Amino acid sequence: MSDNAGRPDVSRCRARMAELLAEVIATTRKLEESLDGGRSWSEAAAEIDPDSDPAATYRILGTLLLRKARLHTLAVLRANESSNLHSLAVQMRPVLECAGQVVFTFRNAYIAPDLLMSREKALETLSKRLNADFYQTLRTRTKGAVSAEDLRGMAAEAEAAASFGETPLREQKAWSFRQSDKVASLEGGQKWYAYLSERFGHGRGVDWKGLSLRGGVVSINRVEDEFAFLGVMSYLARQVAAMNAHAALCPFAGDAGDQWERWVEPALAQQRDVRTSSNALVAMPEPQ
Amino acid sequence: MGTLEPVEVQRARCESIQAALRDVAVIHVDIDTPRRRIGADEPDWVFRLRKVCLHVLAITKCDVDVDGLHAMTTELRAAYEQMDAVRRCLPDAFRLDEHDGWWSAEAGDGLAAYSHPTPVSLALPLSAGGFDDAEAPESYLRLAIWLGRLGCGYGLALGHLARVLGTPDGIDTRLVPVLKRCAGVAQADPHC
Repeated sequence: MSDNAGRPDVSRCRARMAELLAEVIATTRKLEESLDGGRSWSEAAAEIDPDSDPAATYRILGTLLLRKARLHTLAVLRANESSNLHSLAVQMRPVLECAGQVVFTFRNAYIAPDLLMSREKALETLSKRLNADFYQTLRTRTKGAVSAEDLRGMAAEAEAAASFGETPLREQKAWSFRQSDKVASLEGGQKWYAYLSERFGHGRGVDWKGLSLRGGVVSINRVEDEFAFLGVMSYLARQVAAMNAHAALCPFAGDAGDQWERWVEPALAQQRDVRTSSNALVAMPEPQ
Repeated sequence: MGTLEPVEVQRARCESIQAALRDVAVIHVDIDTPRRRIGADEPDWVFRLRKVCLHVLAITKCDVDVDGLHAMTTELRAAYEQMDAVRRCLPDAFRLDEHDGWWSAEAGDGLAAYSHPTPVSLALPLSAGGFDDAEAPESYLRLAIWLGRLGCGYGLALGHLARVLGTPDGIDTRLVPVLKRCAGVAQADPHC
């Protein structure tokens, strides 16, 4: 096959896929703005009253993850414009981490209870993840000065305090989670995450002279590279659409009455459209 | 540590190093042109430098603001990972004074905070990988240092690459002023 065989068609498909991704990320922005209610997350956090507004914590969590996903997706679109697959790949990884966490959170908060598991079990699953996130971040930020053992000690002290009338803590089992756990809620998430890390992150085991889809740096602007952009953006657009559809389930402050018509149905419709369109644009390549 | 220069000064510093990095990338493309015939036994570090170039070019397209800082640190991390392997293949004269593993350690420490988002990490200050306290000058000062360090390490590596590939004279004359800009801007803050 010559370098340019099939190029006009695949170039058009790639351009349409970039448009599709831009449309999906525009929805992310609308969701993000509605979730934060025009305030910064820290202002919103300061006003949390879980009794009168149980969804406030989810809104803050969703706002943060959507914002991070959006900014890296915009970087993905810039990378596509400049035909820089290496940049596109490294910017895509945090998007997948955010999307996976949004899907995990809102599936457990709003879909799983009573359908897939008991409400208590779903809440426990969410609580474990949030606790693990807190302890893991604390350990990282203190550079190991606070170890898992220290944290267990603190929990024991809290338990002792509970015997003197303080609110008792639930038993803490999950102290950490792997980066790849964050994408486990996405279809093919762990496989794609491993692929991006191995081929474009640390770059161990890369065939430098091979195809750009495999992390190579020699092939530029060949028709195979066009297919690489198309396939990678196709997967990303599906995951961002799935993220939006799950984030739309979070009750928005002040407009819970029309949430389904205003947010959930359009987000689900877009998710279906992205799936159909990307199927039509590409027979998605498997990660190599 | 005294008071840092204001955030506007730090942002301007970052923009200045971005411009210097763009110049280094242009020099790289002149040394190792995309159409160059690749030798069968060409060492990996030559290709790793090409990957660094791709991440540097992406950095130069980012705005110097909160979102841009998040995007740039992601590119920086990937470039630093490659610089770790490149450094091992360079003669002493073309290395900074960093120890073995410095690039990789920096990629896995400060820069990694921006690469693995969680709700708790995103609630931290901008300087620690989150979105809070976005106008604190230290976030952009750190970015300037990361960018400047990359400019110096990458630029020095290009000096060696030019010799290995037998590029015509004059590359050093172009590289030296850019290297000085990267080093000078990164060290300009009196409290840095």
